[in-house]
Amino acid sequence: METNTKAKTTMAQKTGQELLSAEDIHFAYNKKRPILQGINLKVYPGEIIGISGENGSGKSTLLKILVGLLKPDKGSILVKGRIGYSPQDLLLFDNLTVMENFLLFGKGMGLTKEEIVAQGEEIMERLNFSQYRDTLVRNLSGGTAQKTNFGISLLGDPDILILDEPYQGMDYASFTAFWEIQFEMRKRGKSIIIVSHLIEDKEKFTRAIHLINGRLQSCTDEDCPGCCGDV
Amino acid sequence: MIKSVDQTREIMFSFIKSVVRQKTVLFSSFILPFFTLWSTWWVTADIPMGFRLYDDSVLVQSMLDIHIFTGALTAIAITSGILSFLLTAANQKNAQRLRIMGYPQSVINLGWFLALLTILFLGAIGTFLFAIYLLWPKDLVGVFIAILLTTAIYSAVGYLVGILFPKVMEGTLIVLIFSFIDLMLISNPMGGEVYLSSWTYYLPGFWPTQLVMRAGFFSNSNYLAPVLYSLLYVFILLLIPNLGKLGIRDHLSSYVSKVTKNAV
Repeated sequence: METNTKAKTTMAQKTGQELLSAEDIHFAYNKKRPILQGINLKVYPGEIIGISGENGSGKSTLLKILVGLLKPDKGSILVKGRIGYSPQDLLLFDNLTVMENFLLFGKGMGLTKEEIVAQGEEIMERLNFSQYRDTLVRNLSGGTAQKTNFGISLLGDPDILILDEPYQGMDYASFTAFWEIQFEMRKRGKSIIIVSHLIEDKEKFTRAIHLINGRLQSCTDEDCPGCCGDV
Repeated sequence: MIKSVDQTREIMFSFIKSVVRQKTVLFSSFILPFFTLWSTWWVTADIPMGFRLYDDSVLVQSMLDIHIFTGALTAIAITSGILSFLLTAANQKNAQRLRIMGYPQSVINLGWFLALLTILFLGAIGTFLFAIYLLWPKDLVGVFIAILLTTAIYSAVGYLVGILFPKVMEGTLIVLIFSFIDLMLISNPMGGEVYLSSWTYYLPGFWPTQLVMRAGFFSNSNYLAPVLYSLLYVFILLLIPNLGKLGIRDHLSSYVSKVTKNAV
């Protein structure tokens, strides 16, 4: 059931060509305290989905399950296309330079060195950190390291981008550039799932959903918990 | 196949580059074996004792001399085990991201292990040179091979613990205590009654110790059994992290976690 008032239905949604489909996902780190209790989520081309929720509600866990880092206790996930993932924590090699990190992660996708360098330079240019190309990650500021973390998820032009609080520490110009990239990807039929706490982001999402009590819900009124319904 | 080789090489060289830029790690891989071997040698009395090998060869030799070679193995085992563990544990989450980016788990494991081995090879050479400086062995090559085998086995032990149980304090203790008990107490000819008990043949340090004793004090070493069994040991240890799909890896992880909790 799609109940979000902000939902901007795309043609793909109407025709049901979802890029990602998660059904009845259950997960618990500890059997006594389940985190996810029956998550259903379909992601269609051209969507920017914002996921919010309280601290510890399981947002990052859900993303880890979607990208395959964690195995759900129950449920299935179907992905059509390639996923790009930017984790909440910086997952970079501190003693490699920015470009060396791009090269190492890019090789995993089977890209050639030339392709990675070209894409890496373009990403750095757009996010305005080209000057740190040959700087060791351990010497970067928090914001620049975060840009590198995010930039790596863009390698290979993924079909679905899954971002866990991707702009912590970014300056305003980078933040703006970040959203320009998202909108441009959306235009090209790519989908983006973002965990975000920023209220001003809500206008940018095509769909905003909340993780409440282990389930994804769409709320018609933010101040009315009773107005939330399952996604 | 070509893609896998290319990816393995990328992981290996990136990791070597990353470690070489950590001066403390490089420094430790020389200082730690040197200090361990030197202190072992320093505290041992120059008293003759008879020892036996698995093939029933018997020799009377000074305890001091015996401890130079067993100390060399202990030194490189502790160094390889701990460094391998710490580096693996520290990069576990990055390894997960590599997997998401398309690297097969087996490629990550192999590239990582080859990088570790390359770095620790320097420590092995340092240990070998210091040991032969203290006492010139009968068979130089045999001693070097025994040190290399110990380096490989304990790199694999540290690597395995780092993957199954990437908690710095507990993992370091597991590797440190295990390597010490194996090489300094049980596989050591000075280990008393337990030495050469049939179950000790299955310890990682058993075959390298037999080889180093033979090479140290006899002129005709038999490399075949120690090399084959040691390589088999390394192979099995490296195989375990690749059993993730069968659920064995998760099962082992939770088992190690339980054992450690009970022990602490």
